[in-house]
Amino acid sequence: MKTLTQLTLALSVAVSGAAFASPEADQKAFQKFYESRFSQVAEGDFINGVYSILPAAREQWEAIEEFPPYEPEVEIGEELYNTAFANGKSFADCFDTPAQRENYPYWDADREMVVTMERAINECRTANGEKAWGWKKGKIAALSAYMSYESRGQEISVTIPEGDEGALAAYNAGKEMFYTKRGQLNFSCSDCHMYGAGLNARADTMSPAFGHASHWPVYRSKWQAMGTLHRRFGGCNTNIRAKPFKAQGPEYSNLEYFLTYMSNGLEFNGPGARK
Amino acid sequence: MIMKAALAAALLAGSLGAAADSVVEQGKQVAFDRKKGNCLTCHQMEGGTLAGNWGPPLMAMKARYPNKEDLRAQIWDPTKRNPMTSMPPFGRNGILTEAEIDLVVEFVHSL
Amino acid sequence: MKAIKGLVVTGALALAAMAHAGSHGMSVDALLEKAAAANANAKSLGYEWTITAPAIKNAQKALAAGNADEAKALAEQALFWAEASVFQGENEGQSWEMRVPR
Repeated sequence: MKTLTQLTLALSVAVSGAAFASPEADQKAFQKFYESRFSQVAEGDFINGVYSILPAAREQWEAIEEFPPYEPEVEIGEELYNTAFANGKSFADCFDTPAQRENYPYWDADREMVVTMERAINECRTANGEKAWGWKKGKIAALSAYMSYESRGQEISVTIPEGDEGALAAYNAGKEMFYTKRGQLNFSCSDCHMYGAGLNARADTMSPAFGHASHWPVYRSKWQAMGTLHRRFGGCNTNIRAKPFKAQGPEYSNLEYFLTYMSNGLEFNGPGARK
Repeated sequence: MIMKAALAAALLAGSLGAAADSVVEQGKQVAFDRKKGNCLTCHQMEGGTLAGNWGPPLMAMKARYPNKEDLRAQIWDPTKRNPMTSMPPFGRNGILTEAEIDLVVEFVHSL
Repeated sequence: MKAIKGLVVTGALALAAMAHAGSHGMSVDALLEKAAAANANAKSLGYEWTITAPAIKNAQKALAAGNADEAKALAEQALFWAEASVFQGENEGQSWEMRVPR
């Protein structure tokens, strides 16, 4: 069966070429890349990022997780979730449960755009006459942390609706963003987090991109605070001297769509703690 | 003891050609500067500490690049020889100036 | 593939030649105008670099302060970076697919 699948995969790639490979074929090849490069990693463990491939650093990280630095943020997020807006409504009027992680990101066919969980949070606010929060840190990260915490264990299962050209275009745009070299330093996401995964830049080991989207928002020691995935995208781009795109703009939303889809089958385990 | 040896080496180098030596030394400074070459991020090499292992260690460079111009071309834009490489094109993207690249080439070629 | 490779090499050579020869005799104002236009092009491609706009600004400041040589050097650097980022954008638009695992 496995051989047959691989054969079919090989054929479909051969016929269509990588650029026009189906998202399904992309996903299989992507996951296989990491699974064969890091064959020691247990199934499903890539959600732990760089710690899935660094047993030595993992112990220290697990010790941190005993008293997670994101805990206060999760509590703040819970309070925000339950606090009524000026109009008397609250987030509970937008979401049936705070455990929403598995529903995002998704392709909104009517509006022809990728909708992330953070976008849904702010849209709930503006729909109720409240001002949108900033996208990268602070309250949005706290609420996102709470909602992610409540969603732990949900399966990543992003869909690209079949026959929807807009969704496919958004996926392909995210894919192109992942593989294109940018900035003066000329790095693509894939340079560091695919072909460089497991290698060291100075003392820092590059993390695998498989599982990257599972554990956001993240409490990052370097930030001394929580930040959203798009904040991290912007930081990565700045590091390579590429002008970052706007958080929640189409570029990063499409990248999140692609990146999360690549991790389908893994579990959401946010919020996370990282260096 | 080490200092004595270094001093002797310096004196020897000085008598043989101080100018050539200082070019290598200047190249080393550009190569090690985190805001310039920052080569240690990826390459181990003699005289450097806390190096990464992304790229190959820089050693026996004269054997690997008998022609200095090839080494220069590799630093200027390594994607020409290997489009899949992650190494930045230091010349093409203006990360280093042409003069700085000349210095780095002298240093790296001395390894 | 071969065609793309050829294009890359030619483009890079053209860029190198430009950096050496292109800016001679141009005024700082003309250099900056050219740099700003190229940077706008890079931006529209989605490939703007963080360092280019600040270099343009610093060149303008140096010019205003009467430091003509510094202004010219900064403007030339900004132009080089702007054009290199445009080249990157055009080149990557063609060549990124080779990095997709299959």
